[in-house]
Amino acid sequence: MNEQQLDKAISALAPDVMPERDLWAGIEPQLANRLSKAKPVLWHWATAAMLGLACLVSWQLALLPGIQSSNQASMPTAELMLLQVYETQKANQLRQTVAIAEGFDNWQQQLQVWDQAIAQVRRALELYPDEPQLLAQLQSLYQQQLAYIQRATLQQPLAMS
Amino acid sequence: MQTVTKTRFTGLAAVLLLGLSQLALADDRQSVNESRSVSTNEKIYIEVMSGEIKINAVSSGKFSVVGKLDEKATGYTLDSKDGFTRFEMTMPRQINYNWKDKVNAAELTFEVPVGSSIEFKGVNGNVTVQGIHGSSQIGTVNGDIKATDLRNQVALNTVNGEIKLKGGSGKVELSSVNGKIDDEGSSGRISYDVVNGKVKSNSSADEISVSTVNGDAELELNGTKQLNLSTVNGEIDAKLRGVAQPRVSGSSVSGDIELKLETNVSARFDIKASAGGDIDNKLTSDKASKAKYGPARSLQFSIGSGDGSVELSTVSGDIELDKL
Repeated sequence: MNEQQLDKAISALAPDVMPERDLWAGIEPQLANRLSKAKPVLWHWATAAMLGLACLVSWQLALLPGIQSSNQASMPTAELMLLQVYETQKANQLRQTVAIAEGFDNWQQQLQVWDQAIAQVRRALELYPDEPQLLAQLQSLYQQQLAYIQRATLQQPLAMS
Repeated sequence: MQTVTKTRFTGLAAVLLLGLSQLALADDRQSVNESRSVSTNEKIYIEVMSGEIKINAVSSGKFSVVGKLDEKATGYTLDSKDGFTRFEMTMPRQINYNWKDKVNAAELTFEVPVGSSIEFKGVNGNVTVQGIHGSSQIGTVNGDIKATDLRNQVALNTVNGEIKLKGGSGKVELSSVNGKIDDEGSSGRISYDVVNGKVKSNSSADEISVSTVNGDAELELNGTKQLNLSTVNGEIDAKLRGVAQPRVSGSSVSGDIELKLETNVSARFDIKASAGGDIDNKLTSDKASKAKYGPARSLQFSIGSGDGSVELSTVSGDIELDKL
């Protein structure tokens, strides 16, 4: 939910309703009595239902992981799509690496700099999902990292099947 | 008599020492002295793995190479035909080369036509190139590139070296991974690309693009209409003179961006810090506002009729706008 949607939802709520008289004087003496009373039967049923629901959800997630992944796959966020594309490409490039180019001795340390920057942008995306500027920055960082790997490594050509 | 004997002995010792020193400094390097008539817009490819290389432009249709090869070189090849010339210093297949050992490295000076297109490839060595107005594509790994008066298409790149360009023009691409880029007086369309190196530019190019990862950039620009800035952790300090309607865009992750503009600037400003960055505006009295939800800050305002545009964003760095 973005800021505009949240604003709209808040504005749709009823404005504050002020009590007609001071209710606190009547509530305060009853609080001590209420704490000592036994919990109503309805509360037990509600707790049991919640526990049952939690068990059911846990069972589904544990035994049927396909449900989660298929839901995620059917509605991927832009961030997840970017991650999937670039991480796959990065893994392929690294897998095909057969040697390191002259002058790039610290290439792995350098890759970490981009990894840290990518993590930083992703943390910002947690706060502002699908923010276009952050997504563009994420993409740009991945492109820089891939270009660097390309330059720093000598790669085996892909085998044609 | 004693004095004469002593003088003779001293003279003999001096001759012996000189001889020994000559033996120690014996130069086994193969000499090269070649010249060819070529077209004025010749395409020239030069590959010299190591050494000190000079490439100078001359007004005649001539290609020449003079100097000495690396002591480990097995020879050289030179082919010149149909507008294409290729020179290569050949090296053994397996070579254990210490690039810091420059005593017996190659020293070659090339002369090429002004209008030629040059492609140079090296690994360990410094390159000095001047006056080429066709195109220049110079690449080395562990070495510096010094260039003067290169025009049209210019691409200089090194990994662990410094690039110094004076008077470049046209489409110019300068790239160093760990070294510094120093550009003086360039014009046209310029791009600077460094990972850990620094960028120092004094340019009047119309369009400039700067990309750094950890390196800082110090830009003194005059008349630059379009400026694109990108850094991950570096600091960018840009002064933009002589332009009232600039088009500036930029982004950083945790690096800072400081942009100084003319007092008569007319532009719309859109500045954003997503997660923890600060925005400091000294151009007007407008202040950044904090988002209702989350740590983002943003600032939008216009000066004059808002003809230009300045769009800068950061995740956690600082952005400062100021007058020159």
